[in-house]
Amino acid sequence: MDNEAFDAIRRESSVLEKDLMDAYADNRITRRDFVRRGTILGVGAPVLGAVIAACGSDGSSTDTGAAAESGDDGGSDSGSDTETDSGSDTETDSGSEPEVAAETGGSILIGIAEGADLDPVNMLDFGTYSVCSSCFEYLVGLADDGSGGIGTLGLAESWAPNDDGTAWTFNLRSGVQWHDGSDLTAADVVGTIERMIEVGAGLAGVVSPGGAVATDDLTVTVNLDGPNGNFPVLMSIFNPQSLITPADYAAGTLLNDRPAGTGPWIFQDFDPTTFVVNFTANDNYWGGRPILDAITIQGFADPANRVAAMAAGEIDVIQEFSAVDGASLLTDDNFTLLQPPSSNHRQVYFNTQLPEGGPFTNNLVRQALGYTLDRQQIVDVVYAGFAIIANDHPVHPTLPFFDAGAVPQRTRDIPAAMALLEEAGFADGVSDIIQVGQTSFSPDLAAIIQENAAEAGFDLQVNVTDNGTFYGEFWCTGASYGVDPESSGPGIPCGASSPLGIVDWGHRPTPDIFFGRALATDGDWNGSNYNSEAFNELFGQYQAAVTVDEQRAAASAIMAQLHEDTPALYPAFFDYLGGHGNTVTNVEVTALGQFNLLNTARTA
Amino acid sequence: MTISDIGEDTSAGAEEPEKAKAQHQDQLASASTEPITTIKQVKKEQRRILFRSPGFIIGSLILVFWILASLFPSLLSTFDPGETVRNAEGGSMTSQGPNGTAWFGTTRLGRDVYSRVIFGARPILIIAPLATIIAVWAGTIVGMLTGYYRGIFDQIVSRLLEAILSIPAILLAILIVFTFGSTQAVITGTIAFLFIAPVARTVRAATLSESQLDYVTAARMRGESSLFIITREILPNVIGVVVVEATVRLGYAVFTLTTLAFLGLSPGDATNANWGLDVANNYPNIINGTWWPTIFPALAIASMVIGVNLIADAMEKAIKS
Repeated sequence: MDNEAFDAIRRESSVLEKDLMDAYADNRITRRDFVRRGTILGVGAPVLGAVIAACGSDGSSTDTGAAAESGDDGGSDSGSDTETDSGSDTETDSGSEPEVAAETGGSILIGIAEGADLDPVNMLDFGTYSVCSSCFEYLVGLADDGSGGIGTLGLAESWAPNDDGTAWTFNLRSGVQWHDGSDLTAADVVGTIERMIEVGAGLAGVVSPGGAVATDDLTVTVNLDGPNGNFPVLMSIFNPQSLITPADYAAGTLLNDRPAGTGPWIFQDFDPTTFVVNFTANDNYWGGRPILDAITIQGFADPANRVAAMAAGEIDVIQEFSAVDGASLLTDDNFTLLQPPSSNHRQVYFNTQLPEGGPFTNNLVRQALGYTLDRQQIVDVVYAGFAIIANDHPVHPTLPFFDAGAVPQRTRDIPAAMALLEEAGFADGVSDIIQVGQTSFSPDLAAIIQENAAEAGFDLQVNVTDNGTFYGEFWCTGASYGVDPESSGPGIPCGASSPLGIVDWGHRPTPDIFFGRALATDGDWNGSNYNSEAFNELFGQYQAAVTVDEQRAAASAIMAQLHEDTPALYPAFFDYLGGHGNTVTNVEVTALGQFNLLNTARTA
Repeated sequence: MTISDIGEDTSAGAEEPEKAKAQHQDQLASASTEPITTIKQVKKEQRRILFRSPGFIIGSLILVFWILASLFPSLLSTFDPGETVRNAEGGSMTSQGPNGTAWFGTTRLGRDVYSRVIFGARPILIIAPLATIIAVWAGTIVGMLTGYYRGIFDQIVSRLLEAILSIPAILLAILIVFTFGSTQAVITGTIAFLFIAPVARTVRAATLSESQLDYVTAARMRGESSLFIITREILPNVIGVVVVEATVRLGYAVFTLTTLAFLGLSPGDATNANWGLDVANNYPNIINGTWWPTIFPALAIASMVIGVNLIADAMEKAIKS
């Protein structure tokens, strides 16, 4: 270890950066985690590379080595563990296959999940995410190394926290123009943040109105309600509703009513009945003109039809598909699979409060169900192997503050489950209904849970309804328990959620939203009605934690708390599968369905 | 498909009275010489023709098989419908083609398709016959009353029935089941309700022609009550029509029931073995070459409908003869 070089860099760094560097120097975190965490804090790749070099992991590391390292936690989460710290890796993931002769110009057709209204701040589905993010951009974008993590391919060139993480300053790129020719200014960013606070959008409770201030034309300082070490993630591509829209936008303004954007693609037209959107290339894009002349995005209501269109070569790019539906694509030589990093999961929630005396209000019964699950079977069957086992908490094992030793992995243990049921006073078994919507994976997962749990004495029925009915009657309906959501006034957001159900959660790079919206007592998506003072306090500690050690301690405590209370089961994190035909090259997709098509080209 | 089928069938049913009338006149003709023995002989002859008809034999064999499957599914099947088929290492066998362990292959969840087909017979053989019995019973009453009394009462009821018939049956079924929930009772009631109108129309036509015959006039002149005439005089002479109608309706009930299940409107657990639901759940996987979880339940539906229709055809022929 080169102490002199290390100290030199350290002296120049902020308090949070120093802590991170110390953690890495002491081997408390891996190099991968160091790079990832450093990126969130806004530390540039040269500095990260220099620290790695100073700490002498293998002497030959340079800044590019560091960047590529952050790349290999991308790919498949399941396979990444075997290639840590080898140092010799190249960028193997997306967009960098050996250059095939490519044409300039041309257009491509992209098949996505059918979306809804093109409202950038209120959108909720992958289809709409991909449309709006084609012309608008995020403050914090993707990394420029194709790793799928966050980085500088956004409107902010750099960002940094103050010493205690209560304020974050973002420096905007200069020379960015809206599609109408006017300049992007800090006022647009401040306006976007105000709109986000107004509708929630992940910022409610983190920033108060007026918290974002334009220091000058290209600098925005966001003063938070409390310390938050992960704030840039909330302004990144992984909080999809944070797209930077013009200052004159309002919550509810639709892209097709007021076309705008700073991104590489200019909105042309939108047909809501067929869900087809056309874009043309932006000649004045700050990152250079796209290679293609135009893109067309087409929505498919049925995922299987999307797969069929891809298999037939009718579309060039497919946004997302399940390994089971798309088994034919996985073995297709003319298809390139894209697997961005993903913490996508299905949450099996229990209503922990109601009905009073109901079996699932008892945490022992909830734990018992957790012990019946054959998680390997779920990974193999529901996700065709494209998933990793999870341990009933939403902290993904690749996160820097994940501690595998915090709680033991829950495995299938029928005697333990039966003992827990007996202790809870349900020795004769429990019967109830698992409510699921028509979302991919949920009905299949419910069927496996039903089979797994039967052996321990759970008699569970599976009720599959369309998504509207599921979200409106069985999840967070905004009504009180046992009350018709349509005829009653507002109650606890999820008071009326069903005793047991499965809901879908998309990828987030840190679990802040999983904690704050799904498990905190006042979370608007808290389907479990989880009401734990201990958890809320730990979550507060986690949010306030800005150093790696503090985050790890808080996250471990949360994992232990969730293990004991089991407000929900998290059987697996599954991979996001997207891809493209070999008629095109250099396509990048995120696990939330957004594309980076700047360098995409048709093969000659 | 169901809609046009029902439509065609109603027109076919409308021809029925002519035949029934002719047949009845045959009976009357022979009745003048040796009434009692001849009727018995006719019935015996009809039964002989029926039992020798290949259609009836094949149809009955199919139906008997499904009845056995619905009574003793565990005896005929190799796995539980919700059980994962496992290989020697204990791993789940998913999307495997037909093989020695899973005769009809396995689904993407590793369920045995053959066992699910066997277990899928029971819900259908409970709801479809029950709905048919209710529909035929109620339809016969309505049909006989309108056909016997005629006049303004017939006009009103017939127009009402035609109004119901004018709405596509499956559309009406979806509407009702969606509104009241897809419980077993609602689905049974809905199918029964939908089939009252076609049954009533057929029976009405038969009753209409019967009631103009001399034996009815004679009964009236004897001073018999209307109830007696309808139940004792006319009913025995239209019962053939009713039986054929019941069999035909049973086929349609099976089809309507599985169509509703295909559309996601089935009673109880979404993981239950259910032919319509299994077809709906698995057909997206055909594109990957996994055709067996879709085709075998579809064949099961087809076999039951064909079996019932073979019996119906054979009965109709026997009665006509």
